[in-house]
Amino acid sequence: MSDTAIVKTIILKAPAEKVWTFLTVPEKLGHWFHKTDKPLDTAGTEFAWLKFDSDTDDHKQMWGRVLEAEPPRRLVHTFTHDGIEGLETIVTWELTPITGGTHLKLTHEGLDKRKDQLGALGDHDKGWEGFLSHLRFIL
Amino acid sequence: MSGHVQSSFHALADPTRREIIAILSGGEARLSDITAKFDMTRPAIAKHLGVLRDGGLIEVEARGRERFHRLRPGGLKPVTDWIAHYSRFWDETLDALKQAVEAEDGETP
Repeated sequence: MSDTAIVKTIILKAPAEKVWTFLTVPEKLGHWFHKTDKPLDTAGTEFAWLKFDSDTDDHKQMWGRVLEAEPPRRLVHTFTHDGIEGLETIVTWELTPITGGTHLKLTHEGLDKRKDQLGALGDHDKGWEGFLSHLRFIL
Repeated sequence: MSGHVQSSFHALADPTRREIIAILSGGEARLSDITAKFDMTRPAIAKHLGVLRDGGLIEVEARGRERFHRLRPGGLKPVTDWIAHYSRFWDETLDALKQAVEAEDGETP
């Protein structure tokens, strides 16, 4: 399923509860990414990351929907922007407490969705299989 | 993201165009060959071919009175490059997160 997902891990010198706030509280998201128009701590929430030069939700940079929120361990949300033609990709954040900090794992599975979309081409499509092999090679 | 990448994705966003790509992966074809495989009009297929050309995914060659459409070598490269771009994007974003989290004089819950 996730053979074409982007996976990144990072160690943070802060407790998971604190890292969680940076992933879900609008103001804190603004410290390292983009401020959001709503907190991301409730499943079902539709939210937007706002452009840097605006604090109204008329200026969406990217947008998404919270799929799972289990503080302070796991957050799953969709991730969409105009540059990917409205394709709904999925970002999963997994927080694991370790001595002196938090192990944070990011998984971005947008590529699998694209594969599913393009899977409609059928098995005879060698060109597309080659393309997917190339993706796996890159990642 | 560059306009070129966006037009590549736009070209791939439609099922008919993806099927045309699949057909051309079996070799070059004329508009009439492609149209014969769809329940669509010739102008409609011609329009899809135009989008695929604009996206850099296919090219057309005139030979005599006929025009042959085929996959353009390297046409999907902007799309694959885009994924590498995304990987770098997350590296940079996670660095920013680390700095923000660790810079804050934190209350330890």
